[in-house]
Amino acid sequence: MRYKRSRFWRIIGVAGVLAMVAAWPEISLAQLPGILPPLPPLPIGGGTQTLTGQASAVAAVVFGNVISIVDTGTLSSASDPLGTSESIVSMSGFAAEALQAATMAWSDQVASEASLGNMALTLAGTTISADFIMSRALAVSGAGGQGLSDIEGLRIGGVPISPTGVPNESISLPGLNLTLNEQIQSASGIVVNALRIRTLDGLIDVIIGSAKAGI
Amino acid sequence: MRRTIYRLAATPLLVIVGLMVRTADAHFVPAPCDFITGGGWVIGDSGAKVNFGAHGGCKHGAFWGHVNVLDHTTSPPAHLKSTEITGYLMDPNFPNARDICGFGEVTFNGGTFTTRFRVRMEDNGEPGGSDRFGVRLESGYDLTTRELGPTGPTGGGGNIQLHKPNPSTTGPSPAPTEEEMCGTLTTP
Repeated sequence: MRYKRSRFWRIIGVAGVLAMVAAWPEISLAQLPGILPPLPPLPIGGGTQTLTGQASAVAAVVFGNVISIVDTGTLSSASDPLGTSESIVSMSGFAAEALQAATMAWSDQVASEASLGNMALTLAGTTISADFIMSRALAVSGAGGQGLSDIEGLRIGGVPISPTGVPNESISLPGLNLTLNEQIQSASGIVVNALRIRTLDGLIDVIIGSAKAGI
Repeated sequence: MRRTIYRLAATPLLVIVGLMVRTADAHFVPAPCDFITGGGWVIGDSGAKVNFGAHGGCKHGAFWGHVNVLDHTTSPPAHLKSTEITGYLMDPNFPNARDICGFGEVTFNGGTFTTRFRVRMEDNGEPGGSDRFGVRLESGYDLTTRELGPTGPTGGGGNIQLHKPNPSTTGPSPAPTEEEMCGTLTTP
């Protein structure tokens, strides 16, 4: 019961923030830095490897508030794979179905994945929707990171958009900046954000389908 | 001498019986156990979309995973959300496929009930158009296993990935039978 109450208030809180997002006017300010924290550096001295893994269907920073929906949390070891899911998420300004996220590791690699279907997001008056969104991140020891994004049925303001599949494809809209298949490489791994939407003022930064893997 | 002849005759018979038993119980917990993950949609028999997101496997001597399925035949869509994973199986005839069994909460037509489910997820490489998904519920719902793609009015989309085993992917010991994991539900 305590869990249900806590979850209720969390959803109410998120709905409130997203409602503010939907109505927020365009302001020009510096953009926020990346939502996900940077991957840790490789351990020095040949000790045990540091694993980094996390996946979330939605990760956002809205007016300084960090919001995550269907988030695995941080992977702590190869012996503890993490997963979570939700059938439907529906709140003011955002809706999606069949959300799932999982992260897992082996002695030599880490894999993370997030996906969701029938996604619709309204931000600064623009509705962005997709039939399906998935991000995958794989980090293999000594071989760096590999990323994959799958965005199907993308529409912006009702207009169909065909992603090129090239990493870090950028689309500029009035008041918004979209990045498709964002891939942030580091020495130890990769962060893959299938769809990232930022207001030009930098106050709102929403990632749909985020997967992180590092080793 | 007679005992030796009996033994020689009995040995092939025992092997045959053993193979027959193995064939009858063709689905079993993979050894070593592993993981499967994926999401996407297929077109149901009604022509409506069926969205899914699921992952499953073995973890520390137990089964692990989450399964969500939404069928848009009705509005609002009927949906299944797993509450317990009771089995993770493979069929040697389909080495890239895994079945996840369990119990879930179904919301349909304004009501909610609990039922046993069995989903099949099959990873046939990249991109995911050749991957396959199906689901069967004890309550009677049946979506036979079908390909995700191609994307379009008659196809679906998404991607399924079968992951290799790791040190945590140990299943229950002894491994339960297919019936113990899935009841009477067969592969969709």
